[in-house]
Amino acid sequence: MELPLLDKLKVRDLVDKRFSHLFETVSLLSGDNEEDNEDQLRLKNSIKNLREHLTEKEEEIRQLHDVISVKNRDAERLNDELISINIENNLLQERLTHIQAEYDTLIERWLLKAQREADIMNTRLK
Amino acid sequence: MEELRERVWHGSLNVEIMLSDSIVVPNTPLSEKCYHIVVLRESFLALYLPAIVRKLGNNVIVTYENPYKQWWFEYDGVPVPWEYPCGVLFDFLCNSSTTSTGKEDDQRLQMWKLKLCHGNKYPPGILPLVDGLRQVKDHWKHQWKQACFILNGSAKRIMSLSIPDFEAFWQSLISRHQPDYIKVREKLLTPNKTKHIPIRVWTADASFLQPSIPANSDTMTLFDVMTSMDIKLQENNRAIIQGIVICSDEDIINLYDLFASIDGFLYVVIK
Repeated sequence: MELPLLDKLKVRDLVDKRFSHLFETVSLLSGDNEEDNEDQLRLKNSIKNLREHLTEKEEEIRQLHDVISVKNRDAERLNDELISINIENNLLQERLTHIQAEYDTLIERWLLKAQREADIMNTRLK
Repeated sequence: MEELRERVWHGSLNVEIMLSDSIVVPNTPLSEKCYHIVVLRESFLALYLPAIVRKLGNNVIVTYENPYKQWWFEYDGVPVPWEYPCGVLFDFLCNSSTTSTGKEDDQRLQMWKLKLCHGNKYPPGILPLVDGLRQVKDHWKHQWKQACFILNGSAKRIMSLSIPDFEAFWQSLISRHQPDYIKVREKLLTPNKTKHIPIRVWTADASFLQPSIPANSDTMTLFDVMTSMDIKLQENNRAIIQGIVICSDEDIINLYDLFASIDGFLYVVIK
């Protein structure tokens, strides 16, 4: 009973395999392929990890840029305040000098007046 | 019998894989969008995807994650499922010259022309291959569980296989080592104690049937099985198993023993 089946299979193989030497024989995921796949997987994982690392670092850089920009703005504001306080100081200094001079003049005038009055009193007493 | 089993195991097909027009880089020469390979009848198309994608992947306009995901084959515009053995798909989809003419002196080249497609949306009827080789292995394992249940009334035998045994079973398929395959397969079958025969029938009108065929009754022929499914075997309605036309008086248990596919089922194509 098996012989006819075997004969049929032989005919099938004859037809199926005709010109098969022109076709490439591909192994079903041979060891090399698996190794390649493993290597590729490993490399892909490395690339993935490095990409994640790069993204993290880029985010860190962006955050640091923001911090620097805020600090720069603060420094600028401080500088402006220093300048305005300096100007104010100069103006106050100028005013102080002016008032001091006025005070000195008044004292001098008062002393002169007191001297004159004292002289007049001395003259009357004589 | 050994020679017959060997021929079933080593049966192969000439296949032409052509990149689908929708994904091929324009003006790619024919030689670079086409790949001619020998495909084993007793293997799954999905197992060839890495080699095919490696060969043709440089000439596609799409970006792909891996050689399995979102790839599928089409024959004559019809999507080809990856989960059945290649030989069964070929027998069902194509008109083999041996089965159609029965002539061996015909010198024509018999070639299965497939298109390799890629896309985000799978066509209807295609099982998405999202987990690569692991998915193929799992699917194959589940097929064997089904077959084992039908054969023995429970899937205990395959479930109690040790991990090394199961791994050897799978590896025998990949490395094409028939003795290892038979060694494990024999552990799953109990001669003379088989309860049912795992059989799948693809009818001419593309219906896919999985009848329950008791194995403990008196000798049951292919004719009896077909009759139980209201299928009449005639000149233009023949039963094809492993690429050959089978006489209706063949014993079904014997046919299963000789021609069962790598997933534990005996496939019968009616055309």
